[in-house]
Amino acid sequence: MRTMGWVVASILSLLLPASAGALGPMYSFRDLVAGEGTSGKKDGPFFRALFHSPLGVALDPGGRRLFIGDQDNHAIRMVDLAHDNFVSTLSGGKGKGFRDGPLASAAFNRPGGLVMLPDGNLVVADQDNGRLRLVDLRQGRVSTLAGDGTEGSKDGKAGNSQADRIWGLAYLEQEKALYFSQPTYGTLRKLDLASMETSTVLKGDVQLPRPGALCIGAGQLYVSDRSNGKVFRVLPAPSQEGVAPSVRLELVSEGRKALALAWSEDALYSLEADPNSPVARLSPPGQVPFLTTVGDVLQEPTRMGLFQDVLKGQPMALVPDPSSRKFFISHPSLNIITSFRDLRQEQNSKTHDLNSQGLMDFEYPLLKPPGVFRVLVVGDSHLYHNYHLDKFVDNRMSVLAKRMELELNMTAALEGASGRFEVMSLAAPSSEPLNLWPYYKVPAAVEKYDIDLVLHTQLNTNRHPRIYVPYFERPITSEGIPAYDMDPEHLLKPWEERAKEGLALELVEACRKKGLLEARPGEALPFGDFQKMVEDPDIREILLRMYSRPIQLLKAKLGSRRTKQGGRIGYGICLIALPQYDRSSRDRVFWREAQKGTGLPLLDLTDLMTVFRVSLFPLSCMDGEDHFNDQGHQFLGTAIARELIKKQWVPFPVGGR
Amino acid sequence: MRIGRFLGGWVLSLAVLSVHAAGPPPTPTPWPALKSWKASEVPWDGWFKGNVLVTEKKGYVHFFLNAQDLRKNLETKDKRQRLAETALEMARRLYPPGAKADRLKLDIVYVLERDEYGAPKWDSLKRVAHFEVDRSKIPAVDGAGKPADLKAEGIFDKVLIHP
Repeated sequence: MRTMGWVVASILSLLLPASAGALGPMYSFRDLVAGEGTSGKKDGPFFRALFHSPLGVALDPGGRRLFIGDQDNHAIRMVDLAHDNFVSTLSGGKGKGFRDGPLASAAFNRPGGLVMLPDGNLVVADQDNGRLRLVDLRQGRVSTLAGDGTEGSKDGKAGNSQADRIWGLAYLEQEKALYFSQPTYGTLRKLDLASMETSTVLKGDVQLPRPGALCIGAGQLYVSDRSNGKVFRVLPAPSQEGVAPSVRLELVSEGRKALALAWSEDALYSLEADPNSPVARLSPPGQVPFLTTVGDVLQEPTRMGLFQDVLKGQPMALVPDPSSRKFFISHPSLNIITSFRDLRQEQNSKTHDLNSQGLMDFEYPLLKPPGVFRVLVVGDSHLYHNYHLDKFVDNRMSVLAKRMELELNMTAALEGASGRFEVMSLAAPSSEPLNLWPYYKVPAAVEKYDIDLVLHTQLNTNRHPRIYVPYFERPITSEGIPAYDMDPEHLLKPWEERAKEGLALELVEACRKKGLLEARPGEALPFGDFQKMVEDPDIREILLRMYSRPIQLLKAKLGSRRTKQGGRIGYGICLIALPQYDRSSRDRVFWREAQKGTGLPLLDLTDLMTVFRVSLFPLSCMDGEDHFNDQGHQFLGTAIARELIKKQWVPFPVGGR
Repeated sequence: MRIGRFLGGWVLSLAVLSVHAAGPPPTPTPWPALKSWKASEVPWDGWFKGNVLVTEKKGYVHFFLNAQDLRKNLETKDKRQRLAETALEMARRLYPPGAKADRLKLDIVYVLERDEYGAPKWDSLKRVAHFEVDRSKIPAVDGAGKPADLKAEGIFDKVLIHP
């Protein structure tokens, strides 16, 4: 089934224009940031750059540059995230050594851990030089912060102290202090950047005999222990007169083999020595499954080779970019830097559940990451049901929106286009009229997620509720459309009383005139065969207005708004006409007319479905009430993405970076 | 109008998105006929779950019960009494916390059909009964919290049973 999906993708990929630009970085749930993979030293495009045991990672405050401690190249490397992840050497890289001075002439000896200071300068644990170095990025100079080059954990004035075998580094702004751990010596120490004095915070502590990974979260220091698998929050101890200020440890988690810790938004993360589950959310607790593009949890990474590093028990980096719920990971033995996003993918199997913001999707960050174009796909159960042989496939990665997202980003990477795309879905079952509820629900979603394009998907399904029904079931608003909320007392009124004005009255009168009103006084609505109603031109015209009016109102509402960047919010309709839904040859005509009547840009897949209906049969599962199967989602996601690019509904500047 | 209280997954307002979005719900199972009718022994909470909508209106509180799943228990010789007792229990148990209105209006209907998502098809609605009463006139339940078995119909000041 999944293989077939890729066959579909391959067929469509043949239709893509020839690659016009350079290969760009992929934007997915798990991506290569830089590194060809073999050891060496080479600057250049991210996929050709060579590293040699890269360890430390630090992100500049603007999130545009990533710095790498490239241990065995004795260099500080830089990945320009704003320019296709182009890799360059910031300093060092001409053999091991120890030399302060300008970036071009400074030398390091196995620079490992990195930490970014709020002023944009970089601190480097220069391991085999036994020193903490400062890379002043504005002045373009390297200096020594602490360490005399000898082994040990002696405190004192910076230049007279010892700072080797450092595992973790973290900067605590409130104290203007740099914390560092030395598991070999059992010490957690800090360097006061104001006084330039180092001091020991904990040494040989019973709870924390071998301090390892460090991070700062919500103004507090977190530390893991290398030997007992515990993770603690470090809190100030109550001060006692005559006794130096101390700290106390509060247990956060245990049973972890944390190689690195990171704090992002409101959660503490750990990179662990478990190749099947290398990242865990410690607080609040939860797993961070690494999903494949078809939604399987990535297993056997030793075979896959993505996380063999974690078994070596060596430090690694886990650095968050909260703006996109992204994390960067160093892979010293793979010589690459990767990233992943935590969008709560453990919810992958709950395909019908809403996220915390009411979308039927993963937990995308509310703040749109820089350079990302967001599409909101609106539709009915065809968006989220995936049937295979009459059974649900509970796999969010395999439904239309995620297929679209993958296709848009893959094409952007292949074409060297600057686009990054997130495709989210907002859906409700067809018991809710699809032309109506978006008017009430879409604006809030657009506002929350700063959506750039709303794509209304409409099928020609005969299961769709009859267009006129809501105009009789619900009170009519001052805008002339049915209210969102049902009012039971309104329902209890005879239909004649519910059709005293507006489009409902027009419809009743037209049907009466044409003899299509069935006299059923009392509870039920007075209409007969919907198909007959549709085929009468006068009644059809009223029905089309009933269909389009809420959509036109939504168009006006969205038209008056702007994205946070000041851009227009696109709103278009995608008509997906499945041949099996046609009850008569006029159905397609009706649905086309309905979409045209909205005045919205129309992306009409009718012809495309006609061409592919035989070759790709079946796209849907009859036993699943004609909801799409894997292949259908794959095909439509790919096809819609391609059409959006072709029609320039999404920005796709090729080779322009 | 303010939606006072939802019980279960009726296809109304936001509940449509939040409840029915979670996959097709199980088809509601009609309640079997009780062997004997005694108000204090009727499983009222189970009957009302998922079938009642309570709405605060200006000057009154409206109760709406889709009794389609309870039909076997209401379409009996003593239909009037059973409907009245059902309305009474609905008023007793489901009056919204914080509501102020004393006037209560209660409707019992049958919605004969549901769609594939279990949502009622409103155009198959059949009116069954309408009651009105002031809440202050409803007798309290007994010490054990059970409703007293009494002539409920007399408590209402307006009763309309549809044929």
